[in-house]
Amino acid sequence: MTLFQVAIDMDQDFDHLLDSEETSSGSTLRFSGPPLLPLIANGHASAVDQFVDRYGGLIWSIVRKSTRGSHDAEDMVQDIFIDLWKNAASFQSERGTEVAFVALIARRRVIDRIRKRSALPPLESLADRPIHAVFDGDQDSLEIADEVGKIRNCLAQLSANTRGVLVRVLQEGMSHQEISSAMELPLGSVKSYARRGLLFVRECVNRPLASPIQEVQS
Amino acid sequence: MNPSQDKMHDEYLAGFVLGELTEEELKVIEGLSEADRSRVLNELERVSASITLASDNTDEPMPERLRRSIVEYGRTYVTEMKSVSTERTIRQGVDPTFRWREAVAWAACIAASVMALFFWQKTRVATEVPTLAPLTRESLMASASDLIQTPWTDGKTPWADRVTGDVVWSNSMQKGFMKFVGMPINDPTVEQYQLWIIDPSRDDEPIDGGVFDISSEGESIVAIQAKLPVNRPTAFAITIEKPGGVVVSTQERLPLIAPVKPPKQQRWTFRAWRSFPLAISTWRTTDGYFSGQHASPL
Repeated sequence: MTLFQVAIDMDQDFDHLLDSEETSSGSTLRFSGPPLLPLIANGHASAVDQFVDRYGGLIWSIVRKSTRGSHDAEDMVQDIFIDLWKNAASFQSERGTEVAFVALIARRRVIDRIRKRSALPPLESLADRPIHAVFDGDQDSLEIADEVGKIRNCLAQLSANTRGVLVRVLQEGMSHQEISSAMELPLGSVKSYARRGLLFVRECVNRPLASPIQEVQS
Repeated sequence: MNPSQDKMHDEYLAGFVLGELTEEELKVIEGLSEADRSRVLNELERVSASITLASDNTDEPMPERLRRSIVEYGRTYVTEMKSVSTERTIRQGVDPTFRWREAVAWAACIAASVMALFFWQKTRVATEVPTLAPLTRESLMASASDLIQTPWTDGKTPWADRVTGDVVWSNSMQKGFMKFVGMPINDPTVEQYQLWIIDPSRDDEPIDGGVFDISSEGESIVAIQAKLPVNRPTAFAITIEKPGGVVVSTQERLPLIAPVKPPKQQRWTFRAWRSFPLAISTWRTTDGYFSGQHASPL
């Protein structure tokens, strides 16, 4: 058990741990400090400030790309943080990185918005899946930089169209219609590229880095 | 199951994670075993979150006003939750003189205070902080400067015996109460009542206002538990649902509705909220009278 875990159990003041967090302008380095959700779950209000400072930019970026106006974006960001406070106790650092947990909760809200915007039916039965269940399983928790590196390596193995569609969906928050117009692809093709691209990356991250797999062209 | 069918199911599950699953595809994957579905979904959700993180642009600073509001709310929420946890620990201690009635009263006060933290006011002044004092319908009515009070009227499927009462709600405090007189007692193991707050300014879907039971005849007062911030409610509606309530109501049983009286000095406007089969039409006249509701299937 790490000193960090022992300190949580003893309900000590953690300000000294928060002060020692590294600050960095790197794209993933700023996410790699000690997890803050366990502190928040244990009622340490001082951790809230650092949590918002650490992940606020990420959440705002994710939301801004998928909303039409800043008014919607602010609502969604508020809802995401409420979800995070409510699910803080569900986070387990040995199962996954805190930033992945944050990104997952943010994406679920974004998906809700995408579905409403597209007038698609709500996913009542699947949307109620507990957050922590996503991180249960056999896979080891990587450092966030390693995780992102592996993802980028897998994305690089995709065809240009598939990678372009997948990145536009998951990183730019574009709808299939918008992607179809931007990339001059049929709507059905966009849907296929996105789904198969995601499945490919999933298979890719589950394999050792030394054995690249071939994307099946549609 | 054959490989091509497995591939199709995996594509549908990917569609779910990407947020573009159709209703027909949803029915297919709902038929899969929970174990098969969960394993694939968990992996796909993790991967999609990681792809999002791999973007080069993930650090756009949010507006300072928004950041301050989120921090303030978060600090209050975290502090309140710790208080509830501490009280629960004390009450669970071995004390032969401990009075359970007193414990229930304290639990209700603390629970009401904590529930108040789930209400988020976008336009709230930055320095306002919810207090721990328990709120009653009477104290809300006495203290709220923007109180909305609207009576219950017959919904799409009213009871034979009329139910009266009203809703009181404050946007600034994000708190409210429902009063019912003569509402049928429900068996919570069979069905429960659920409140919906119609707020077209916020979303196309109504806001879940909480599930509740009526356990006695006569008058009942129920606190509203809005799951999301309420901006400008135009109506409050009661449906009858399965135990535990639902995320989205089919509105098959909608016995009560309380339209919100529009403010005075408004010009003529007509708004129909499309999501409910009961079209909520609000006429805003210069003298502020609400002309009633127009029920029609959409």
